[in-house]
Amino acid sequence: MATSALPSGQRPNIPSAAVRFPAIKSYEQVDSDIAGTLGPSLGWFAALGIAILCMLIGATTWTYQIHEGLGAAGYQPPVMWGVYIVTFVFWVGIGHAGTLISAILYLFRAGFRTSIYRASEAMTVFAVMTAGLFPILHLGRPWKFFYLIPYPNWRLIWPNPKSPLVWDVFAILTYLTISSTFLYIGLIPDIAILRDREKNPIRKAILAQLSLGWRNSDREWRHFTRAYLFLAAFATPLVLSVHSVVSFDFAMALTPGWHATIFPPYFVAGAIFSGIGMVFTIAIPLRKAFKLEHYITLNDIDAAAKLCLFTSTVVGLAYLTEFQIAWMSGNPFEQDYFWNRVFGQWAWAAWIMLICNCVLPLSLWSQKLRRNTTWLFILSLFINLGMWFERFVIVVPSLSHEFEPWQWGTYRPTWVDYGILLGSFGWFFMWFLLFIKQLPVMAMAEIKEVLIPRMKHSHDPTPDLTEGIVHPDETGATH
Amino acid sequence: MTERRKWTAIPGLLALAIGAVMLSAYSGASSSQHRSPVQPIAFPHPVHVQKLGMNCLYCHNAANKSMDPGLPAVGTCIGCHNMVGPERPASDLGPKRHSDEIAKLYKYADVAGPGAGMGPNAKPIPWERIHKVPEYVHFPHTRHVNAGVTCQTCHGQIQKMDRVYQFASLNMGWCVSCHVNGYSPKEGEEAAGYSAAQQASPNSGVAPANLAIGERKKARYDCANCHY
Amino acid sequence: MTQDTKKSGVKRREFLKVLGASSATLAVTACEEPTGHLIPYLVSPDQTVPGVSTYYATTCRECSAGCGIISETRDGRSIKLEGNPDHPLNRGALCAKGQSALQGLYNPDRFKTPMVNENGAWKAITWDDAIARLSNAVSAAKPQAAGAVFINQHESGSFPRFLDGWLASFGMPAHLSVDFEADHAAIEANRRSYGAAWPALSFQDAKLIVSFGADFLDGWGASVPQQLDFADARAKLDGAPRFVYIGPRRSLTGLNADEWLACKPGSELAIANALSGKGSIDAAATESGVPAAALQRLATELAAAKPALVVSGVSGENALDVALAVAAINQASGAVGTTIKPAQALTGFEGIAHTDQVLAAVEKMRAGGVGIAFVRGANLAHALPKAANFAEAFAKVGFRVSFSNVPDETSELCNLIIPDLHSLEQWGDAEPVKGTIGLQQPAMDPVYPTLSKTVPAALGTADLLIQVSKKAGSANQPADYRTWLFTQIPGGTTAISAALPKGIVSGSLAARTIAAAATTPKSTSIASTQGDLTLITYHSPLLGDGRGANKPWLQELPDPVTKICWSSWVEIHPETAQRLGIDRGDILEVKTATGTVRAPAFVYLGVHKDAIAMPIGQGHRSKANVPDFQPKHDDSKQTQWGYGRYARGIGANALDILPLGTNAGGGMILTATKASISKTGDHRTLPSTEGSARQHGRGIAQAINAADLSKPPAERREEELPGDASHAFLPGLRSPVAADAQGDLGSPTSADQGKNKGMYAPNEERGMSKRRWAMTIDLARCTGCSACVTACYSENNIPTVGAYWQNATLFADARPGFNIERGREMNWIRLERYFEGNLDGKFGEDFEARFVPMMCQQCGNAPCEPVCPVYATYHAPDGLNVQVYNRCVGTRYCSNNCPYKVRYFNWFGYGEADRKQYAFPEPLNWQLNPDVTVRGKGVMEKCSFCVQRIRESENRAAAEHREMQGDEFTTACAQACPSRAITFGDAADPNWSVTQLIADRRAYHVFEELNAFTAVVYLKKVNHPAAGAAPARA
Repeated sequence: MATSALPSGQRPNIPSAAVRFPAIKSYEQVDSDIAGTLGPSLGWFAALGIAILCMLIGATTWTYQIHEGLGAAGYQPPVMWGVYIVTFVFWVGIGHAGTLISAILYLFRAGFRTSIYRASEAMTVFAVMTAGLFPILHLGRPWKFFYLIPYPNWRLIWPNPKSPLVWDVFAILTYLTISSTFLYIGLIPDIAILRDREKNPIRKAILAQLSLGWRNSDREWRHFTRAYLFLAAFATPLVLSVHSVVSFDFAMALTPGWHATIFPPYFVAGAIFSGIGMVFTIAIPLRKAFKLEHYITLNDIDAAAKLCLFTSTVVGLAYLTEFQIAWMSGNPFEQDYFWNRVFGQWAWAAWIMLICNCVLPLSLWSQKLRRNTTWLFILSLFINLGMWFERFVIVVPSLSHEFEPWQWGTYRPTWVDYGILLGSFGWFFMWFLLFIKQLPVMAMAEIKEVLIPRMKHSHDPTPDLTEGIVHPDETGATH
Repeated sequence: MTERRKWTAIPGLLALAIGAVMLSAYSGASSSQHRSPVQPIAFPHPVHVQKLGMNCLYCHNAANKSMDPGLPAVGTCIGCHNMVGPERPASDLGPKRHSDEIAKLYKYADVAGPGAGMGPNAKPIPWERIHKVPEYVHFPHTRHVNAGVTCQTCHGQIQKMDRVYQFASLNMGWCVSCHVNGYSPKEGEEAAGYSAAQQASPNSGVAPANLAIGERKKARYDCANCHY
Repeated sequence: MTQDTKKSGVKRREFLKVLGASSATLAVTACEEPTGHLIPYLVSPDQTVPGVSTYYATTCRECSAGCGIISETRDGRSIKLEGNPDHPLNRGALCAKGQSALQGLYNPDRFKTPMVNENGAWKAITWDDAIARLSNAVSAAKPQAAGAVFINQHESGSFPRFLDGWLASFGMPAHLSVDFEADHAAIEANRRSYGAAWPALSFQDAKLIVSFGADFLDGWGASVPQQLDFADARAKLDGAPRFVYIGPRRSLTGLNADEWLACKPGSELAIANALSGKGSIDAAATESGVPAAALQRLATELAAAKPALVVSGVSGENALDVALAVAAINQASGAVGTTIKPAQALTGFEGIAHTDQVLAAVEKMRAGGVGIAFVRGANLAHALPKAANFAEAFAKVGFRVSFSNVPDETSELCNLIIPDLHSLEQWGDAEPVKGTIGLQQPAMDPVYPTLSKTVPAALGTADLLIQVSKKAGSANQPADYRTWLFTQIPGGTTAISAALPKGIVSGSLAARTIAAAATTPKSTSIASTQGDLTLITYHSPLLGDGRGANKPWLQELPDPVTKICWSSWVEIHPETAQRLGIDRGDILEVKTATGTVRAPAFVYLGVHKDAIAMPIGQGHRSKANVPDFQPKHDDSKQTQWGYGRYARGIGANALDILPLGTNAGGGMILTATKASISKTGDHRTLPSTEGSARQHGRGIAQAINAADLSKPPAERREEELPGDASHAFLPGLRSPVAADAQGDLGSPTSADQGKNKGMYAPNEERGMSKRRWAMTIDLARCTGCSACVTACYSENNIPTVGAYWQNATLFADARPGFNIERGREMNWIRLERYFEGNLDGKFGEDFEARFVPMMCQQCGNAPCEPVCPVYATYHAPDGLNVQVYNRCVGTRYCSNNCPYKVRYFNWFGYGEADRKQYAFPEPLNWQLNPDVTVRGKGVMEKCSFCVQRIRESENRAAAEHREMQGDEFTTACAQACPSRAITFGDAADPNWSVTQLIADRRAYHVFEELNAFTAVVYLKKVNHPAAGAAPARA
């Protein structure tokens, strides 16, 4: 439609509130609904307790591993990398969807991001925090991890700029910095809202500090939107670069099954795919628990599901391409490995990966299933599993079946590996659970943006919020 | 202070903190430089080296042919000290004096008195070790001594130390900078307290390996030179 | 000066105490403080420089051969054993067993003091007490002295005569000198046919080598000299003799054969007769199951080959007949004097008591006719079949004395244990070759001196016996054994002191006077026994009759054939395994008339389908119930009965199910019975270093037929070797990537030699990029004996990781070899054993074995280098691919990226004294090489081309103000190699012989197509197929 024909107060690209959130009547409702989610509940305490327990199990296991040596884990040469690196890549991947949703979709003005971006951005930060542990955790001498950080020292030596692992250090740290800044900046207006609503003086003081003295002035808003846009633009390339760098850990090596030019795009697609999966895993229960159906509407979920379907097909294509390259390379090492991948001792892992990541998501072609939150939740669990196994299939079978037949081997993780894996989930969910009860899980300010704003000069005291076209499908949104 | 300044202060402080950490790392705070433990016997290097003009290699007899400089055996001490006892009559060496340290030595060596040999209950002297590089560093004394590196270059004016202390930091950077920038025997001899004129310096053990004075002698500095 | 010499004892000791401490710090990374272990020198420190090794020539006592060894001694500790280059027998080489003598010397379970068993409880006693008790026992046994028995581990030299003299002085009969690994049938046949127990075998002069189960490369006779000569023979390439192996099991020697005729057990005689023309080919074919055509071909070949060399090491009951028949063949082909040289007999094998003599002695004990029995070295309780009931008979002996210095099964049955010194701690001699005397001198003072005022600090059995005689008041005893010994050697003290540096004196020792024992064969007929499979037992090439089992190096060293360690196993042919539904690793129960044992199955192409094979050597058990060894930081108080912590409870002893039988040669029958096997249902992952036994056409171990050697190399076709290998190939030593460090100096042919190129100036006094260290490995020579592996362990402080306590603490399996199952072995150099041919494991179809020593290839363009985030591995300008342990953080990325998989990770704190996984419990850590860092937990390690040796000779050259000369030094593996397959040197300097070998027509690089520009060049194996047999695949 022609932009000139827009009713007064409506901005281009962003559908009107009536379309987006028909059930939302006023700003106050937004505040109360979302701020209302913050009160801790019994279920929340239970969940947090479980998370912390898992985290502690992981911490204890790690302590034991450091004391005993990496031999306590299931490493079995030639498989020198195992569950830890697999889980590292898994968590980094999770992170990406958050940034995609909060930054890229913001730049593209994709409306459906509004309601889920805060949760996903938080997810990103915590996922990267989790991922960041693993490179240290899998070191033989973790207490020497600082050798990887370039700082002037009396040894007069520096890290090796040629090594992908050093690139990792930079990539992960950059990503953590940017995404946490991005999250925080976005939070400022909402923190200010909480500050104003807060009764408890101590909390009020803390929130006041965090809100950096936000006074909701036009000037602040102007700076805020600038900064936010800038950060979004800044974060966008990271979505592509960070996971490309992670993929270099493998692509730069000459191990059959790793040494492939397709890895960067393949990993980025996989990352986003797994991230969306995790978004569903988090957002759908959240939507139920916090009664946010008005905000996270089926339209939003439907849109996200389409993105999921798309990335799934990209990943599937990547899998096939790997086989095609191996087949056409005429390189027996490569061919032997890929044959072994699907029919060898690791076939079961490969098939879990293919079914979870390529077959099951095909169900999303059906709109019914796209709008069926139960199915999406189940599917998202499968996707998480499948994506973990994708990394497993990349790391372990490649190493166990390399150039030198005499050194072919296998791999059996021990309780230590699983303990630390469990711990990583505990760690992640601990932070996330703490977050959702301390800070708004949804960007109040941005939702209000969608509602028609009260302009200072506006003489119309009560704008009619119901104005606008009602989408036929929207009827389902209110139950 | 205005609202805005208050917030700009935070990153400033952060930067300062980081800077401090880096500096401490760079200064090699971990080094045990200047450590000077009390020895079981206060062995006076000045007397032996400066007054009596003994060569370092007399006691540290392997320094020019082994990784290990070699420590003098108790017997080596007694070799002279069974003549030089705790009690010294007035002589051209100086006035009459009593030395507790030599008495200690006699106790360790189980020597009855001047002229007597070592007894059956002799014990080694548990010297406190001062200069120690980590086990994964292989420092060949022979290479350095034969290249004309004087003892003083690394151990300091040891002939003047009544109580030996760790002169150099022995940090890797300290080693490497010398290997890279090179070493001039001339400097070494000056460090040893000898004028450049004196060629064969008694203290540096051997004559500098056929080198013109002032020419800087560089050394390999790849890791496997010392770490293996 | 007089003062010094007078007091030198004390002076020397204190001198060294301090030095010991100061130099010990180099070794151990784990602990901050210098370890204060005090080992006084034996020789005056006037000749030694602290931190610089002294080398003592002495004699190896690990088997009867008596090779010459050189002990490298640093600051009073023997830290490495190498072959003595001047010794006529082993010419500088040394086998794994010999090198492991060090771990006998430093064995943590050695007795520190004499022990006495008083009503069932063992207690330590003083030396004076021990001597008193022994002399009392000896005089108490006077009445029945004639019945006394002294059993001594066989050794040549003067000691046996000394011993007989001592026994005679108490009216006791001469001692029994036992060696259970000796092939008595062969010795008897040799004596009859050639008049010498063990004539020298010259493989070089043979046109054809035929072996009837004689494993001359792994334990049959003097393996090192035989291997040296065999390798030289094979190195003649197209002129080399063909080698045919006949026997039911293909041993390491068999795997080195060009052809294997798998005959039925016991049918060797028929074949031998057929070959010698006494019997018909067809009869032999039907009896042995070998196709007549093959036998016919062999017969004609044999007839044509003059001289041939035929050897027999059959272990069946007709062993002597086979050996005699074989001798006849040799005589017919004019072998005597050419390939079999009685003139240069190996005298070490003279005077070995027959096994049936030992059994007779045992029966005498059972009859109660023995008042006192002495055992020294030999471990009868383990090395005799259970059927002999030794323990029960031995218990009937009035007083039992053991001179063993380790808590083995036999000494546990004794009343009194007076530990002997280790051979590296005492004087002695041997006559390894007729006319040459090998001297044995102490390489160091005893690890556990007597600490007694009244007896000498170093008290070997000989000196002990002298002390006993003195106490018992017998007259004209020598002052000490050394004095007596010097009188025995021609030339006396002067000759000895002149000869000591080289360790050999020419001349002969007086022979021992013993009545030749009449053999009374106690034959066992296989046919009569139950079971569908014939049981073949054989002495493990590494553990022997079990002697090696307490040495972690030998336990950790994979068996050359099966590649299994820290375990025993049952070899079974694929067809049989398939028939019985047995998989690799299934625990089998092997049952014979005499008993049953359990062991995991190893499915092996090289064993007859109607037979199973079990190695002897494992299965050490203690009589007393000793709790599992728990590592403590202090010395464990518990005596580790059952041959020590490393041996007890590992595997099964095949001798438990072997019926008692001796052949006409007086030797034990090792192939004596049929057996039936059944699956127990249990299964275990074999602690084996073998991944895939096949190369999958990847050209790792390449071979060429002798006939094709002269032909020009065929054009390489795309599909033969994968990837693009079309670059101009200078022998692998130039790397486009490393060029910045090396300039063009990497290549011996480069015109830019010596030009100032690259990142470092080669002509600078630093001389950084002058050299390119490289290595060639001649697969035509390599026999796969694995001596290089042990040499590497010993030189580079490599931890052994297979002991059952070397695993994690919580919820972790405590199983011997667990870490090996997990592929965590640390062998910097490993021997890969690939099979070629007979893919579907059909019996009767021959197959080929290829051995490849695989270590870090020191790539010029190393994949491991760019991926290390901290430069812990990088390219040194002299071409070394260096691993810096103290920089390593343990990302293990380098190993992932290494195509050769030669990097090894410290999964546990093997090198840290306070860890339970510590691999060098006191005093094993005395052996550690001070020049090599002991790696801590969590760091990567790998072959460094013995960089410490490179530095050492660089330092030496610098100290002498000269350049390094060609072939000035070599690596530990090359030095030890008994087939001289490994050559090390500077590829950029034509003075090093390695440069010629690199240019050899057989030279190739493993995975050349990866462009890693490896510095290790392999020379293709050369095959000698029978006329009309399939050609070798590259």
